[in-house]
Amino acid sequence: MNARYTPWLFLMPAIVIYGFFGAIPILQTFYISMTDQVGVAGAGNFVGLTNYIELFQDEYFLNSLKNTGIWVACFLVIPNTLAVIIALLVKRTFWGASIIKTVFFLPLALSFAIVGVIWAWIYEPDVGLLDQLLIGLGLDVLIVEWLGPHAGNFSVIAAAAWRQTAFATVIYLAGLSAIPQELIEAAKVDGATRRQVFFRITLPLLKPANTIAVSSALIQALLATEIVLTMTRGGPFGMTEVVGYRMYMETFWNYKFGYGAAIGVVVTIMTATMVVPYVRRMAKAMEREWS
Amino acid sequence: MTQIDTNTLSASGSEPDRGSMFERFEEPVVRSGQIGLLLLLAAIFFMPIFGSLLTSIRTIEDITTNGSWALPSSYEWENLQIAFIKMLPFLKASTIITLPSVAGTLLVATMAGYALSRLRFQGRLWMFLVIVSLSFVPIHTQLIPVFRLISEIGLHDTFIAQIIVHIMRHIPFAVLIMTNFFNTVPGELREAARIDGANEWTIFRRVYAPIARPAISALVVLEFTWIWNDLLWGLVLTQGTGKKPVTVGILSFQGEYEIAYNMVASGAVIAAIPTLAVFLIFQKQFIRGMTMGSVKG
Repeated sequence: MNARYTPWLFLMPAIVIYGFFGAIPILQTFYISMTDQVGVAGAGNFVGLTNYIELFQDEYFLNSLKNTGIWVACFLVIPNTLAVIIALLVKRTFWGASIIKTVFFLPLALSFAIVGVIWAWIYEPDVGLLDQLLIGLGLDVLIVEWLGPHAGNFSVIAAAAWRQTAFATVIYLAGLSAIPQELIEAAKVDGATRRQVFFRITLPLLKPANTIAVSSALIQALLATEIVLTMTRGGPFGMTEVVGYRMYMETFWNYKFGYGAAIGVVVTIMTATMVVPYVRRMAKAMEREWS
Repeated sequence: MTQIDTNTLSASGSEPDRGSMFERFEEPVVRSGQIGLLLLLAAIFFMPIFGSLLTSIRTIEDITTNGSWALPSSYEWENLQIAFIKMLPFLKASTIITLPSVAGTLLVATMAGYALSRLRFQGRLWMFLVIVSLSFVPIHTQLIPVFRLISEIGLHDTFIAQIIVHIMRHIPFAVLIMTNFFNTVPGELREAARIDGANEWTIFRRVYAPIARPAISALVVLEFTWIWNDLLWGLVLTQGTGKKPVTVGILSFQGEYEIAYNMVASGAVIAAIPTLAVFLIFQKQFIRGMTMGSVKG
């Protein structure tokens, strides 16, 4: 084996498979987004930025964009806050802690398809698990039409946040156990109060875990498609549609491939801007590692 | 001098003492409050799964007359049996798709990760960054051209198409994890093997691949769950029932039974069992995989 080519031989299967089935399609999506292609046959005519202009005048798309914005805002706050609280509570081990941990991790094993099916039943009017629970607790006043036009988007977000919290809990627990216990003991010996220890030591040292949890939340919120598909199919009246779901519908229901590709490009650009800090951090870490 | 020293020592020594006395008093109250809160959160968190299990083994009449949270008046295991029989073709398809996809991803990614981490060559950092970036590419960027390509080469509605596409989608993340893992293996190992005259392939196969077992097992569990749980590719790349994965199956199941909640719940339970079982058995590997630099979910 020629030493110079050896690394590339090891990389070859990955490059060939990804290049042919992954990288070329990425480039094609950008091109297709500038055509009026309908359906799979034929290539469509080049129409420049027409699809994009149309897109930003399309009220269905703009509505889905607004919903995706709400997804992102909720996902930045809810799963992260809940997961930090859960991780801090679970961290101080006690009898039965491993069972409790499993309960919090369990949603990670479920697909978004199943999460959607389960939560559709939870939100079902009158007989659904949530309405019946609230009635049982005497809190009937809180009941709204969970998957109706007003609450719908938030209800879908809550279902997805359930799963995302499980992920963030895993990450924060790992982050917490990476904090050297001696550091906290030393601070206590120096007379630091519990609050000081938390805000001056624990929280700053959770920063790497936070970066991971936030990046993941952003990506999940931007791409949310599958859960909308199984829970509401975008309804009622498109009130729960998100950009990823719109892309799927325009492409595979309306067969507007060019238009769908344009939405795909918009989603890609949004994702790319969100992950820049993470990729930068990886680059720095690797440079250190390999220098 | 000595006196001042002992003074300050004893003064500062009394501080944490007072603190710990206070904490000793406060501790049980705060701690039981914390555990109470934790148990409450856990109960809320478990509600969706418990509720679905409960619903799956009841009759509709029982649910409407006794309420959704009542214990079953009779245990309808038959619901699960019917759901299982209906889901069987989908479960089979998912198995045929997922296992080769996981094996393929791991083989390709272990080789690539080894090269990126242990071999020095021009363009290494660049290559690594491309792979990191690709692990974030949304499925929406590839859906249309991949669908077109698969249709053009006549592989639409086949297992092989789904397997190749899954391997493609999971290569970047798996390579990232394997590269990170191999970075933690000391380099002397390679030097020692080289001196013994082994070539790169032998070093990889005999020395590094066996060492990588913990990372590989963590990735196997993660990738199995992710690929098994995929819905969009299964929807887009298939037509007939025989080739559709179980995530698509649950959709048609949902459509078929509509308001027969007990059956829909049974279907969800049957569809969830494989990944739940894998998760419960291999929880340690699963968590290790997630924390090895994952940003997925």
